[in-house]
Amino acid sequence: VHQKIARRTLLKGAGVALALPWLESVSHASEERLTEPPLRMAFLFMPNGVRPELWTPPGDGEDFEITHHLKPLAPYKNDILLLENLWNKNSVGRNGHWPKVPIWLSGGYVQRTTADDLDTGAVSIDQLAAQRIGDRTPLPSIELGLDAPRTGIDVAGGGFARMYGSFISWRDPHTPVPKEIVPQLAFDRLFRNKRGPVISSVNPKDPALLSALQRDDASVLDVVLEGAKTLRRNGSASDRVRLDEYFESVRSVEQRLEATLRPQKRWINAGKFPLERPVAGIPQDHQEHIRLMLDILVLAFWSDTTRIGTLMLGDAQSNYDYSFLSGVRGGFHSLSHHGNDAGTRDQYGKIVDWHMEQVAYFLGKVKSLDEGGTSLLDNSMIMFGGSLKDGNLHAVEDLPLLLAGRGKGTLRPGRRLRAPVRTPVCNLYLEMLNRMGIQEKSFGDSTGPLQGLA
Amino acid sequence: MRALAILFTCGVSVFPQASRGLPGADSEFAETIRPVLVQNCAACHKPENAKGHAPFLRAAKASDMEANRGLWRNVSAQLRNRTMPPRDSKLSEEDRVRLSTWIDARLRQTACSIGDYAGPAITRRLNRREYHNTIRDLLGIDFEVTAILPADGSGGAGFDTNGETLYVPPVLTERYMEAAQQILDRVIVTPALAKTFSAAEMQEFSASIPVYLEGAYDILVAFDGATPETKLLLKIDGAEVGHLNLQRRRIIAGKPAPGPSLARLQFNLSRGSHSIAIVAGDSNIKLSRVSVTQKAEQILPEKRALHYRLFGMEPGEQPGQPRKAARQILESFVPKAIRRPVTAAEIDRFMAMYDRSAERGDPYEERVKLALKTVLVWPEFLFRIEQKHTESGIFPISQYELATRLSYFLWSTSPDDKLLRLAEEGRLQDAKVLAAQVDRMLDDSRSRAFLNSFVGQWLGTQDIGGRVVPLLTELQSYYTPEVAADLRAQPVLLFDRLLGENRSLLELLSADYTHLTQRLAKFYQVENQIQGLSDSEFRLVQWPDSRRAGLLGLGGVLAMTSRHKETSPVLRGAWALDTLLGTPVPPPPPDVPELKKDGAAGRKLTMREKLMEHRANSACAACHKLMDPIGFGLENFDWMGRWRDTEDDGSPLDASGELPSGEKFTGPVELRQALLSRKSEFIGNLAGRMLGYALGRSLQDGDDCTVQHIVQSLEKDDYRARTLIRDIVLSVPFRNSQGGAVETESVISRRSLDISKLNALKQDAASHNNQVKPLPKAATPVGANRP
Repeated sequence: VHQKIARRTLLKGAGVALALPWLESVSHASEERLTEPPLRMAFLFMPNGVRPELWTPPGDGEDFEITHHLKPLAPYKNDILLLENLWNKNSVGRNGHWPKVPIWLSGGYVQRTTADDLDTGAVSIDQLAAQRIGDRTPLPSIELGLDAPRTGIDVAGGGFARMYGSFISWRDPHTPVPKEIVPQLAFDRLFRNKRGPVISSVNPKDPALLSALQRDDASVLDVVLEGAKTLRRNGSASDRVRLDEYFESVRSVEQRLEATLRPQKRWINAGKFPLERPVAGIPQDHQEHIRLMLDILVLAFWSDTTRIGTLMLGDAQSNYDYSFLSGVRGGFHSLSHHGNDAGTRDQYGKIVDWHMEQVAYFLGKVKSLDEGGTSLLDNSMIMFGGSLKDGNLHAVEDLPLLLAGRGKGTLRPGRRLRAPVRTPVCNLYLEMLNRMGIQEKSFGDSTGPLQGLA
Repeated sequence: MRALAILFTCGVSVFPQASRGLPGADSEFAETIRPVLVQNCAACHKPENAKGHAPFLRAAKASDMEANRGLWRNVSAQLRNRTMPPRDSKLSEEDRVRLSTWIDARLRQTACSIGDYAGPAITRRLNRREYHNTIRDLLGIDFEVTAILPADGSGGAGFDTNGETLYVPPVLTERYMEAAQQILDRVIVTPALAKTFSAAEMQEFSASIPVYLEGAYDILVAFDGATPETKLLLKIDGAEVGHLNLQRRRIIAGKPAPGPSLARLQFNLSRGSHSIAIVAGDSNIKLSRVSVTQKAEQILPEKRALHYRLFGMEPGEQPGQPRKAARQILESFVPKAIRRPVTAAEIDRFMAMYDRSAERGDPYEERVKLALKTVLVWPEFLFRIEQKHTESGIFPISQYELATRLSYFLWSTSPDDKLLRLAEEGRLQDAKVLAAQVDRMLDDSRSRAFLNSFVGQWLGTQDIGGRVVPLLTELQSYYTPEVAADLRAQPVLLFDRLLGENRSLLELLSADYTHLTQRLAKFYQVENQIQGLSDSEFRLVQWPDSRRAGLLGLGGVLAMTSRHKETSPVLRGAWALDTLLGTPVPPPPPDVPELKKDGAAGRKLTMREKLMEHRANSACAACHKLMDPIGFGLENFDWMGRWRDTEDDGSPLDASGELPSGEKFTGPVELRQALLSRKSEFIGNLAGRMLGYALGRSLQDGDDCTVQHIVQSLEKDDYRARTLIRDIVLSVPFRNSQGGAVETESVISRRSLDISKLNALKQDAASHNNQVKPLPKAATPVGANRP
């Protein structure tokens, strides 16, 4: 127990409180530790497509040339698999943006509802994984982003609820998982809800502990659940859906609180992670915002708080004003529809480049973290890309996608993987699930496992 | 049978002039509607096939259609949404629009034929705004919810009151717990922790201390046997925190003062029991006393007042019989929090938490806090849960449920004492009492909550300055975040005036006045014509001319319906049709060609020219000829909503256009006149939107009848704004709920499906699977309230 603390060397003098949750590990005298790092899986989404001619390298061999858009990733060329010819066939002939987003990670078919009953037809890969193996870590998964959810119906744009474009993670076909966009809240989410007993050598069944302050939240929730039984009888069946959602949510929080009393078999990295608790609010500076969220995702993986994460670098049709970039005047989405006007097209390309730089920053971070001989990147599968190719045309084939990391030796990066034209991206997901230890026969609209990853 | 109103009575209309009882409807259906459907759909939907899927073609007369409303709503939605007929069909875009519009209008006109409709009982959680306001009224604090609760999406009629999209993700429960703790910590003054332990000459000391408030704590250790090398190590919960700082001894008369040595350290602690240990490595050291004190919080007068308001006594004061006093606090707090009277057994639940805290020796304030924390995550606080009736029929909702509906509609918060008292006296379902309450509530400043959120969300103007208008340095001479805020406020202030003075709702289209600040005057380029403005408050002023009158002249509306640096007659037209008239156009078909930028002679095309070219494509023309001409009438407003007399390149600007019904106009003034001639559609749409906001759900077929009644009532009363609110409150769906099987198709049946099965659903099937709600059974209006 002692030794672990010494290795972490987290607590020096004052200002301890916010780091205290880290101490949770002390309490688990009986905690078993993993002997090797676990495999992590992340999905980074970028809206509004790319310039295809600056993305796809010429030729068709395994080796590939670093194209303009890929330039920021050049230092990591040997860590990435460039994926070609994957797509979501259910996005054909629909609105340019909204319905493509929820199916990016699921392959489902989005109903054109007015948002009173969203239906994406499927659950996303990250949430499926979280449901299966999320109980192995304090957080089943983490969902991050930069934009607050969109509201209203895009009448002129196809009658889709704009909300569709704000979520890539779907717990079930009808329920998006809200993403955290405030850095401090995201940070706290990693540690705050582990309010386990921070008393050394604790016996979870100890009556003193059961009545302790730390267990107050769990007993409040106990009372809520008990009261719930009566309430459930009153509501009508359809109304019960939302109420049940609450009780289910209560139950899951309670379970998480209880789980802190139960040892989880986790991986503990040596050293201290160089990230302070972010200040409240959303940073003015867009790059600072995005990098904080990326840092938090890295921290979540590094601390083995979760092994599954998604991050949206922007919501569908994001029209964030990128005038802070030199040579760019205007919003991302507006500029993406450049209509082949050379000046506008250049500006659009610059915004895409900027996103690539953020991804490079992320890959640099995960690659630099040592996990006892291998890097965090080696022990990860990080998919980056978007749900449309050419932003100007909303093209749906050959999505711009890449998979970074070695998947603990199950991926052979440094190549491009040219799948047969129009291969479901779900074939890739099937393989990723498999590597996460989730054996599925099919996923979404998969037609079989994607060949050639290893 | 009730006499039927004709909703669309004016001029030429895109809508059919059909009405129940007129022979026109049947013949129109038989001659111009059904044959087109037969031609395009009969191959699959054979009318003679008894078991056929969606057998809508069996309808031979308009009345057959009306007898099968759910099915036909579905037909119309499939047509409009382009999900049917399949892509290779020959149905023209023109016919697609015509058929779906005809069916919709016909169903709307005959909505009252199914009898009264009330809709299901409400169960939904408070949205973020409502949570904020409810906490404010309960405990007196302005709690910053945006920092802790995730933003709500919106659905149904497009409002954040819509229960169907108020999801409850797991993270929300965590946040509610956290919020409850923060809120109560801000209100309740817990005595600062100060514990002193005698250490009885040990080298090591450990004790467990309860920390109620996260914050800074100070440990002070007195000991004997200090040497220059003495090091005292502090451990918290088994982890080494650091060494204590030795205090220099006071020097008295040149010699160190007698008595024990002192060492101290300040550190932060989170809420919870912590074990504190002091370890001295040196066997000469003898600890004598250890004290832990919380760094005293400075208690501001406001917090003292909040504490007093809740406890009925000053901070630090202890009641003689704590348990009894706590129970009294709960007996007063809980009914307000859950908006209904409570039984003793219900209070017992919360007292159990008090007891839990009391048993481990927490101070009185903390015991009450834990009980109140439970109340603040109690489902009936976070949710509005109405009693549901199992028998079919329409039933008045309870007095307390009505008080709650009313206060969340007009105040976005919980009912005040007055409403609760009326509910207790059983008088709230009385139409006169109810109408008087509506007036009282509208006169109260809390109704600003309704105005802001309804107007901002209905018009979409709440997004101005957020995601809609970019902040560009080149605009800074006239457009700043403050201007954006003023632009958001303008339509709200307009509506506020209509309600305050009970003016005609048609002024939304025609008001020749507005509210301006100095910076807004600059935005509108009228700073020379309108004097005496300031930036600190809005002033009601006349527009210098009529081109800015009404909503269509407001910068917020015009900027929101533009593209970046480019006006969009399409968006403006679509906005007017949908938001003002309630007649959304179908979405664009897939693979829309690009607008051309350059004309033959290499000259840049104007927006009008680009769109005219686009309309040469007949598939596009069907809808664009509805939308674009309305937008053309607003071309004098640039993409930020500022006036312009010419195109951006200086060429002359053509602002002529026409309504779908054929009224021609040039420029905003005539466009406004043309729209005013469609006042029934405008008022009907506004009434429907507000009804959806008030009920917190999407409107169903049966609600159209309610809307019709409201429109008729408004017509008779000069469209007075307060009449609209009053009629909504007095309407059948607002005061009643439908018992029995009013289950909308919904969520639940689909949710109960296994997800893996859903994944496997064929997408072809999905395109038939539609979002239209089935109809409620015509209900006998037993005990129903009618205005």
